[in-house]
Amino acid sequence: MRDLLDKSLVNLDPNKVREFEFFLKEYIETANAGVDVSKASVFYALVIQPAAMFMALTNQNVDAFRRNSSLQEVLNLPEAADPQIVQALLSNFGVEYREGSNAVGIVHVFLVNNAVTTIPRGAVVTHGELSYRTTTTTIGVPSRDLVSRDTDALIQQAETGAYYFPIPVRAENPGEEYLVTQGSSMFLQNPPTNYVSARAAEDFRGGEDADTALDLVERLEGGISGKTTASRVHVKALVEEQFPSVRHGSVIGMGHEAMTRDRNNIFRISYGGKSDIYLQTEARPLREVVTKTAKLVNAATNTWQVSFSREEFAGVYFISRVVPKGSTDLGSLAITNRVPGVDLSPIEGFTPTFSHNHQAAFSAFQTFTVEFVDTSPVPHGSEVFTTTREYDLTLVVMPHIQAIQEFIADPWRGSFRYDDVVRAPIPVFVSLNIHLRVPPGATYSTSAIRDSVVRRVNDLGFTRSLSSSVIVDAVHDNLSQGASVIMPVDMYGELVNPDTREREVFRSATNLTVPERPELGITNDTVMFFVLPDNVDIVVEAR
Amino acid sequence: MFFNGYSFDSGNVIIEMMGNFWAKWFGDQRTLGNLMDGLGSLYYETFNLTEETFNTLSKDTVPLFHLRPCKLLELVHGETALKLLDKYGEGNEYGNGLQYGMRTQGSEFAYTLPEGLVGCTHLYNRVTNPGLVLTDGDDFTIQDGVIRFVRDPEKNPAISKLEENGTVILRLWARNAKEDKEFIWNHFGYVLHIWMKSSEHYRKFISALWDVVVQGPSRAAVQIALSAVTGVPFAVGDETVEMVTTSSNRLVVVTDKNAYTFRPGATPLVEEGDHLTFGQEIVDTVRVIASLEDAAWQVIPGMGVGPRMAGGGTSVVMENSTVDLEYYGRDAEGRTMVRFQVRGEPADVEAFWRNVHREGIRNGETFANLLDTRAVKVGQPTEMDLPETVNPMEFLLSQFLVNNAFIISVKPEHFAKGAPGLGFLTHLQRRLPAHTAFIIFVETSGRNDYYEASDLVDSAAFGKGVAPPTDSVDAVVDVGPVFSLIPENCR
Repeated sequence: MRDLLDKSLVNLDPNKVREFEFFLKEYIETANAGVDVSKASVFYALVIQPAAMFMALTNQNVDAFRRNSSLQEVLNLPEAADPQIVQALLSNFGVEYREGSNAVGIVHVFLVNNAVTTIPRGAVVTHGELSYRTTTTTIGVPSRDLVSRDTDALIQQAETGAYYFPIPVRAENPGEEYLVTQGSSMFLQNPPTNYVSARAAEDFRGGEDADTALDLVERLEGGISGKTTASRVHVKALVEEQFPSVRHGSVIGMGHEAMTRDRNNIFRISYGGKSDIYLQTEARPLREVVTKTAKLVNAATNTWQVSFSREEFAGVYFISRVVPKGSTDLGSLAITNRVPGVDLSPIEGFTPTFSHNHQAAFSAFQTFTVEFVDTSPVPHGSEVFTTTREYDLTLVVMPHIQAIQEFIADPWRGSFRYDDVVRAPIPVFVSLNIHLRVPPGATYSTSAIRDSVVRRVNDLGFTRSLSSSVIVDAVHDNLSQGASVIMPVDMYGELVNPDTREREVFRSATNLTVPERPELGITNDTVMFFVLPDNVDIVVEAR
Repeated sequence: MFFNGYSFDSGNVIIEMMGNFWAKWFGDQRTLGNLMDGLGSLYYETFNLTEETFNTLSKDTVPLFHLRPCKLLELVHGETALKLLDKYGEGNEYGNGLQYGMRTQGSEFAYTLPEGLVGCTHLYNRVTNPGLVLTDGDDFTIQDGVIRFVRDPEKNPAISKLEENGTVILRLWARNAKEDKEFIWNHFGYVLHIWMKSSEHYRKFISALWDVVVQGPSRAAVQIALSAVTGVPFAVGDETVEMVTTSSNRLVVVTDKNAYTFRPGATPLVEEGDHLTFGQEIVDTVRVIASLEDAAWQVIPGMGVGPRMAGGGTSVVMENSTVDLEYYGRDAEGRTMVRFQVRGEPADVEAFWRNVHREGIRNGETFANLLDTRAVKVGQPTEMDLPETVNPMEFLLSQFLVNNAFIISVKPEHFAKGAPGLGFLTHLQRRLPAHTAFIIFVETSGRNDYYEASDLVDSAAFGKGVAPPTDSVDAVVDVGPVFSLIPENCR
């Protein structure tokens, strides 16, 4: 630990020493005008000056002791905060410094042939300047009967004809910038001879930045809070302690215009007792691919149906893509019908009150049925509701919603009188078109700009309004002098309607605002904007 | 020698302790005495600083200000030109000869103070045996980092002046100087993200909310927080009232353990001989009504139901008076329809009752069915089967709100001077259960308004005997439900 107390006279505040000198000189002069206390005097040199200096030093050290007992003051000191002091102060609040976490994910390695292929543990996979390493040795094998260990992976054939198998990777460093999205191109260093390419098989998850000073201060109240559902701050503390990936939360309760669950009475007046806990549980929603068995429901229209239980659909916003199992084609089969539902069987003994499906949207109680058209020929003799096929469906989901609902509803935490439903924020998915002008020869990184924009938007917290100035500000953090953003910035937002689960489109060049509809829970306290990296288009013009 | 109270700041005591040579034989006792006085005074300042540092360890003792017995003040001529104009919030009353933007008396002799200096009792021209003593309030005032003299200090020959590079600097000593180092904010307030100007109210508010956070939202902590934002104390408890006395500038309630001071005009709720329990209301300035058993609700003239409380876009007011239950005949399906008088815009009132009937149909029992007094409820009730009258506000409270809402009834004109005010209750609201709400009833001398707080930001307003105003009173901004990793804007 750094020495808190100053033993040297070198760093003394000269104004303070001067003030003490004045004080002593005036004290003596006033009483005895004959005494020489000028700077050239012996009195000054031997008595006044040393006394003033030592007094200033003592006071400075006492003040340093006080300042170092406050995290706020420690973080505001001109010199870098001593980590040990910060740690010691945090311990008073039961808070620990988080060093960040490394993103993890699955990468598909594409091959020219279906031959046994080994990717050793620690192999380096890159995405631009970001570096990952495989966490296990994976052996791709050409047939299922050769799969004998957990680390064996079956090589599959994509519709393009290429062969691929999955390998698990982990980012080399902690940080949110390592959260690549599904489909991102990756590069395998020292690849096998039959290697073609590599691609992220899913959205990576888990990558978190190390705590900043602001993060630490923000967490102090949660540190001393009782970890209960007693109030909004207590809920925050409870959830964040158990689920540190939670970024933002908003607790809606009695009297909030979005709280419609407590108005099940003839006067439609809030009577309390219920809360909706909206949580952003990761930096951004994730895309997850699940394979489901679909039933043919209409042979004439080639319509197929897939149903999701609430466990499968907890926190899911929408289905972004439906393709035959294993297909790597771009695009999706056409979704023709969406039927949201509610499963009210108890979770940990808790059954919430819903009077309408939209009240359960994006929660752990929602269920979903989707219908889509697959024009590929239906086998002869197929029967409706009997014939099945397997499809890969990509879900856009805010993870952990079910786990947090179970945690909150646990009998040791939940209360008989409280009706607390955990929900993912009502989302607006944003696409951006950013046009930059940079001086010839200037250096810039579109990936850094994209990352900065994505972080800024996804970290806005709850709001119905996204200003283009937020985007411009984030871009400028990564531009050198002379570069500029050509206005306007094209912002395109898709709100997932909590009632219909259809996507409603909004567009603006200045301020992307979603109208308030409290009857559907769409308010400033429940809506969040999300942007995925591949939805940020950056065009650069060198001039 | 003007510092006292401790032996180490007394030159004579120090000399006595130095031994016979210095105390009896040394020739220049006067100079020695002054030197020891001066040194002792500096040690006193260090002692003060140390004591303050100790006190910052507790939320209940954290000092409001850093106190300095004597602080050198160097005032630079001409530095304040841009800061002289008076602003709103500085306590000026405009319109009576004074116009906004106009300089008040003394503004012309104004100087910027060192950062953090918020006050002092006197200004001396010398550190000891001063020939000039200026008194706060009479000769100068300090506000918002500016000191304003009644007379031009630069023309006062007793004040020493320096001239450095053509700039005139006045040198004075500020006695009992208060420096705002924001101890409360820097040691406790920042944890809760609540900033106020340093004050006793701020300290009490932070302390109360800290207890809410650590221990949960107890009644006691809520009352202490209310006391902090209004400056109106509740009883400490286990004490007996010995005297209730009123003067022109205050009401004082004396018990065998405490003396409680209130603004004049506050109505005492206790009298001599009363035994007080913890949290008991002593005056009617701030009252917490959590049960219909508490007769205090009966003085509330009405209660509004706005979009936040009832959804939709309507606002109606339910009066606290007995009104007739109005029989509206039957609807097309033969269901009995009844209403009682609620106030508001006619379209809102109509929409309100239409919704009530529709919800009743949806739920299988209309409002009339619910009010049916028959023991055996067969068929639709007739007019004779229904109560004749109803108290709308009591109905609202007893049927809907009583379980999870409570009322805070306040008279702001009797709040303590300098009290932060109700706006800060939003911080309390964040720390109360989301499943509950509080409703604030504000009684002013001219008119009674009420508004809903906690989540209930919107409201209808209510006026005794007059039609409800169309505007709403948004006195409390609800930032409560939101939490995030990025601190809200607390400063």
